[in-house]
Amino acid sequence: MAPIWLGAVAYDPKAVTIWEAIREVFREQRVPFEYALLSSYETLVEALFAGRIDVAWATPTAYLQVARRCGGEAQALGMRDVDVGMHCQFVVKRGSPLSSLGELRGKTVAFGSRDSAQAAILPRHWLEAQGGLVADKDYRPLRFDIDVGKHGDTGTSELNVLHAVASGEADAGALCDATWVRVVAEGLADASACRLLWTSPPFNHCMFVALPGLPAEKGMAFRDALFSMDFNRPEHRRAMELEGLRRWLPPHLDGYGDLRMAMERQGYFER
Amino acid sequence: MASPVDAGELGSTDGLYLLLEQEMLALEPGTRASIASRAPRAAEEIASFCRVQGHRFLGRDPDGNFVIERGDGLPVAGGARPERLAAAPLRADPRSGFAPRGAAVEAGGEPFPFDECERPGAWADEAPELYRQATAGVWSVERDLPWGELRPLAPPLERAVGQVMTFLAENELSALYVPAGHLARVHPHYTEVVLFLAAQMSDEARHIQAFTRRAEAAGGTLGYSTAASQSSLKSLMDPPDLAGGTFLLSVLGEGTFLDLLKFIEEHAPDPVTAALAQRARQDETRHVRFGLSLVRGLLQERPEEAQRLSRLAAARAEKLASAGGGGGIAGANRYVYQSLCVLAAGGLEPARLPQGIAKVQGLQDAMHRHRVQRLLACGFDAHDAESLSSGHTPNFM
Repeated sequence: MAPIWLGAVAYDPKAVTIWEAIREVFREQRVPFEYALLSSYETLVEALFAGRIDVAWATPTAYLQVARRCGGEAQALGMRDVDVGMHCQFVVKRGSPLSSLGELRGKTVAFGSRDSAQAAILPRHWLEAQGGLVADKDYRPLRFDIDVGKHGDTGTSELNVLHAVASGEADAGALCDATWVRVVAEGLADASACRLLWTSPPFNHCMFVALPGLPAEKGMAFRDALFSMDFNRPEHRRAMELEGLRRWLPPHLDGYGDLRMAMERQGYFER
Repeated sequence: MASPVDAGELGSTDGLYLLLEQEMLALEPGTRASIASRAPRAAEEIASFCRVQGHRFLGRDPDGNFVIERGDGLPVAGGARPERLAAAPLRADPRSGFAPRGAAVEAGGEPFPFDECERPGAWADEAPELYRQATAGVWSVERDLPWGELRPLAPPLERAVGQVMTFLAENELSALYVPAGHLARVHPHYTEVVLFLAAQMSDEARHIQAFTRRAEAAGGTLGYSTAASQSSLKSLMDPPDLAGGTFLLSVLGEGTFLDLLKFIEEHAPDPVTAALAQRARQDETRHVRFGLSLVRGLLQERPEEAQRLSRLAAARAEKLASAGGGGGIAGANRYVYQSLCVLAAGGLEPARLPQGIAKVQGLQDAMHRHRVQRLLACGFDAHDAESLSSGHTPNFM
């Protein structure tokens, strides 16, 4: 079998460590495997459609763009356990009198990178769908468009959101619950200055995706090798910790409806 | 399941997440905790916590308490099966790194370059007691030696003292460097051995300071350091393992050193040299006991190791014999020998020199006799003990 070419975005130097370790797992499973690191999710999607890679490690927005371009026939191959049932959240400063999304009318609301599903696209969607508030008309968005092209992977913009809320620059801010749990547990000062205002319905996050034409043999070999990874084996654990998961799961396709709707309404599929 | 944990009205940043994480750390994977909370967003916050930290959120029980099942991959102490170790383990895992013995160690750590990871050879039963003694009896070069009583000696005696101090200091430098080389390779779970080695190095540091200071304190100088002495000391660094190194240094070398220090104390021409030799001998006695304990423990578990240790000693003797070169006794330092004779004779008066030479002969006999006793105490048989001792380099160490 020719090597499976995986494409991923280099959102951090640790990406090399992660994919080298995963390549070792594939080698152990006798599955020929190569990876290519790209600098943005837009070029990752292009590389997939150009046939330069077989499988893309895609953010939910990149996954939905691939699915849209394939007419819904994209092959989803697997995902992280922590990416099933994710939530986005709005936080406010501790002591703030705000208690619902609707009360953000006329306020300043901080968002992460504009291409981040969890810190920009979905929060804007929920403000409109559940709070009845339209950006620039009913509230003032404060955007931290950092690392655009990385779809929020670096997490930097979410830390900026927290800082804006903690410092009073924004009345509320949007981020993902995974970030929130992590920074609260670590005692980040900006997080300790905030509290939770609202939690969204669940959505699912990153996905390994391939085009419909990926040979079945490759798809199966990819899944078998990936699912052989075991958090309790020291030689696997480091990569899994760096990638932030304990188990790879089969695709859960049910958690993308809200994001698809949000991307449609916000014109993400036309770009 | 125990009674519910009361989380009051805490939100995530008020302490709810801290409380949950601490509760989870106290549980075994697969067991459950129930949380009583009156916080308005508790359900969402607890659900997010569980997903991100790898626990199962099981919703509410009939009493309205939130139920969590502890996952097996807590990033903090997770996967960690606490190995509560009261005593040195038979085998130590290099992946526990610098975690102290008894701590719960997270799985998946990188292996550390420890290669002394098995109790035979890395452990000495007497190490805890000897470490206690070492730290209880620390003396001070400044405070505990009678420097104020030092008076000028006749030049031959002062020269002999300077030569002997040079030899003692070079030996003690080797006795500092050899354990230093082994220490970083011993797994930290053999804690008392590591601590003892550190104390031993600290003892040697004190001796080096005192010996070099004495050489110059009464107007004299340090003496001559021979190539043969350096070869002999360098060969102590050859064994790659703690047991081999300890056998050559502490059992054979420092063991023999005890007789030398006693001899110097008895024949010291001044009170500082006498007090110094006596203090150093007390410290060295601990080092020898440590060496005996470690080697005895190894040979009890693995009698076949006696052969390897014998070969190490033989290889050292052979190397020194072939390096001897210009005649005379290989490895011997004739200036040290002569200085000891001068000290024992109280100077260079012809009438007393034969007596000094006879006393040094007696010292060499005592060194051999005591070496054989120590080798027998380690577990070597009488034949091996005799031949090992005879092959020991005749350089007074």
